[in-house]
Amino acid sequence: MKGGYAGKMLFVDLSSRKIEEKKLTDDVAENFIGGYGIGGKVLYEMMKPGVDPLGPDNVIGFVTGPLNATGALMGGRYTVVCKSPVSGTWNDANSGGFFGPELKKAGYDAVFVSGASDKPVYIWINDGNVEIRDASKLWGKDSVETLEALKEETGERKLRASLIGPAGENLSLMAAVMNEEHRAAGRGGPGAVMGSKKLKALAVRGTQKIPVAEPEKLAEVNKTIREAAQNGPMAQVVKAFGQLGTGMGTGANALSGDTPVKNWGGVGIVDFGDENAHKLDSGSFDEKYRTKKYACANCIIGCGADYEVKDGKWPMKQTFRPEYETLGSFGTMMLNDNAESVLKCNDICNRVGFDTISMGATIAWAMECYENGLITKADTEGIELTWGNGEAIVDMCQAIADHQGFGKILSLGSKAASEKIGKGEDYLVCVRGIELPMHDPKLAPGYGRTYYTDPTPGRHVKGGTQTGQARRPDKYNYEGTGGKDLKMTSGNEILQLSGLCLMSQFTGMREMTVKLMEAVTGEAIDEARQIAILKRTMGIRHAFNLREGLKPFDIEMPKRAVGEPPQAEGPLKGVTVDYKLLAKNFFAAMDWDIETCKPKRESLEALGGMEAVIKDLYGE
Amino acid sequence: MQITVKLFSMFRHYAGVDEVMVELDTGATVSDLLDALAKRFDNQVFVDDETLLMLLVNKNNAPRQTVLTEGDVVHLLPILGGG
Repeated sequence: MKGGYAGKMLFVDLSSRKIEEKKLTDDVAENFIGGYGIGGKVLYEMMKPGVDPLGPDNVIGFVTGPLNATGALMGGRYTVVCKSPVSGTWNDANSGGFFGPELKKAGYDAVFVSGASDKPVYIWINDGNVEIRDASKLWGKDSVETLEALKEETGERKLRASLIGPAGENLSLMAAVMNEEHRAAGRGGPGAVMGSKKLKALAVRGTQKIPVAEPEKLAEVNKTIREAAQNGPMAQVVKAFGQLGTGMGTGANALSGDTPVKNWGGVGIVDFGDENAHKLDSGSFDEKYRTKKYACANCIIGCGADYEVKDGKWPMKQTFRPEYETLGSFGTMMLNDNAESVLKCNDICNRVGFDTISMGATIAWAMECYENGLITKADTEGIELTWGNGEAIVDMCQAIADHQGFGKILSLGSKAASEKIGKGEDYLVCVRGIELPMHDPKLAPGYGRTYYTDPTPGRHVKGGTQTGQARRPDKYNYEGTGGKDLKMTSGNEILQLSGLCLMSQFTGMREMTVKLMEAVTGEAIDEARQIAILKRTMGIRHAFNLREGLKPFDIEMPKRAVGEPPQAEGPLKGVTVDYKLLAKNFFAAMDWDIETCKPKRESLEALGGMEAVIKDLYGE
Repeated sequence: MQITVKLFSMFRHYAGVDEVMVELDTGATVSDLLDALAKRFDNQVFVDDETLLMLLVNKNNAPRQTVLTEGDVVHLLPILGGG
C-alpha cells in the first residue's frame, strides 16, 4: 500500500448489521488525501440529498489522515464527517488525542457507519477484527465512565475510543464526538448523529505498522521541525503554548478585538477590561491547578494539561485545562471573569459530551434574551442569567447537561432554541444555525469569508488567513483577494486533510505540511497540486450542499460579527467587513460560477475524480 | 517621558509583571518602546516580527512607527488563537 495509508476502509450498516471492507484505491488517496477529503468523496457517493440528519440514511465517517501513525510530528488528528443536524448541510469536525493513529493501526483509514440500531451498540475493531457489540450497559454513562467501561469489557486497556456521552444520546444538537475524555470533534452536532444511530462508541486497538515511503527523509523533516520549534523565531511562542496552553491568549484577545465579548455585542477593552482579561489568562491559574502536562500523539508542543481543583465552589479531582475557545465562550462572551466557573463548565461539557463553543455561545444568547426580558426567571426555573454571573452559567450548563427544564430547550443550541420559544432571533450569532467561534472577522476579515462560505460554516480552523491576518496593513482591502485566499486556503486544506494539527504552524515552519506529506507518501505536492486538491475536496463538500438546496449567497452573516453597524469605539471602531465580496473573489478563484455557485464544468473535468459531481450538476 | 505598558498573555508570562513604567526620550516611537522592553526583560520576544504582536496606544490600534507622548498607555497583546 501507499506510504501513509492502511489501504482499507470499513463500512458498517447498523440496520442490517452488515460489515464490509473495501480497498482504499490509490486514485482516491491521491485525489482526496484523507480526513474530510476522503470523507467528502465517500459521503457524496453514498448519500442522497434530503435525508434526515438524525435518521438512518445519514452516514457518519471517522477518517484518518495520511500522517496519522507514521511518526510525523504533530500528525495525530482525525476527522468526523456527516450531514449536520444543525445546518442540514455538510459537516466535518476534527480532534486530536490518540484515536486517529490507533484506528489506522487497527487496520483502517476510515470507518463509515450507516443505518441505525434499535438498541445501543458499539463497534469494536481489534487489529482488523470487527464486531458490533451490545452497549446497553454503557448507555447513560459519561465520556470518562464509557471509556473505562469499554476497557473493562474488552479487557484491552490500551484501546482508544471515539464515543458519545449523554448529550449525544439525548440528540442534543450541540453534542460532540469525544475521545480520550477531553478531546472533541465537537462542532455541528456529530454526537447527535451517533446518538440517532444508537452508536455509543467506536473502540479501536491496533498494532499494524503504517508504511512510510521515505523514512530517512521523514526523520530529517522531523528533526528540522524540532529545531525550528526549539530555536526558531517562534520558539518563545511554542514554549509559552507548551507551558500555558491556548488559554493564555483569551483575555488578551478580548482586548485586541479578536475574542468576542457579550454575545458579540460588546467591546473588549471597554466592557471587559484589563483586570478581567488577566483573570481569564491561563497564566493566572495554571500553577494552582495543573497536575501534569498533556500532549496529543507525536506532539512537540503539548498544549494540554490535567488539572485538579482542590477548593472553591466546584472542586474536581481530575479535570482538564480549558482551551482558548472555551475560555472565550464561557468567559468573555458572558462578561464572566470567574475562571473556576469556566473550568467547571469545561468539565461538564467534556464528561457529558458537548461542544464547548456552541454551549457557551448558546448560554450567552440566552443571557442577552434574559437581559431584554425575552426569557424570565420563571422560564429558567430560578437561574438568574445576568452578565458575569459565573454561578448561573454553571447552573445553566448543568441544566442543559441534565436535559431538564429550560436546559432541555437550550440543549438544541441557540438557533433551534430561538425557534422553539419564538423569540430572540435578533441576538443569534450563527451561520446556518452554527454558533460562530471565538475569532472576530472585524479583526481578521478572512474569517468572514470562511465562516460564511466554507462548506462547513462557522469554523475558525478553516480558510487560509486566520488570526495572523490581524496585523497585515492591507487586510481591509477587499479587491482582488481571491488568488491569495485560494493559495493560503489550499495550504490549510492540505494540513487539515493530512491529519496535522493546526498548532504546528506556530513552530514557524509553514512548509512542514508539504515536507511531511512528501516524505510519508513519496509523492510531490507542488502548488498546482495543492490547489487541485483544494478544488476537489472543497468542491465535493460544496456540491454536497448545493445538492441539499443551499444557496450560499441567499444567507447573511450575523450583523455583529461583520460590523453592521460598525462599533463606535475600541480597536475595531468603524470596521465593516465586505464578506460577500471576499466570498465572490474566492468563488471566482475556485472556478465556481458566481451566479449559480456551481463549480464550472470544464474545471471539474480537468481536476479528475469529480465524475459524480459533474453528473449531478450537469446531468450526464 | 513616562509610558505605561500593560503586558498580557505571553508577554506578561515572560516579563513576570502585569504593568511596567518605561522612561523614553521625547519623540520615541512604539518601536523604540519595544526595544527598551526587550533590553529590560532580556527577551527578544518583544521585538521579534514573528511573535504576532498587536499594539494599542490609549486603547486604539497603533503601528510601530507611532510617536508616543508623555502619559500614553500601551497594551501589548499577542495575537494567538487555538483550541
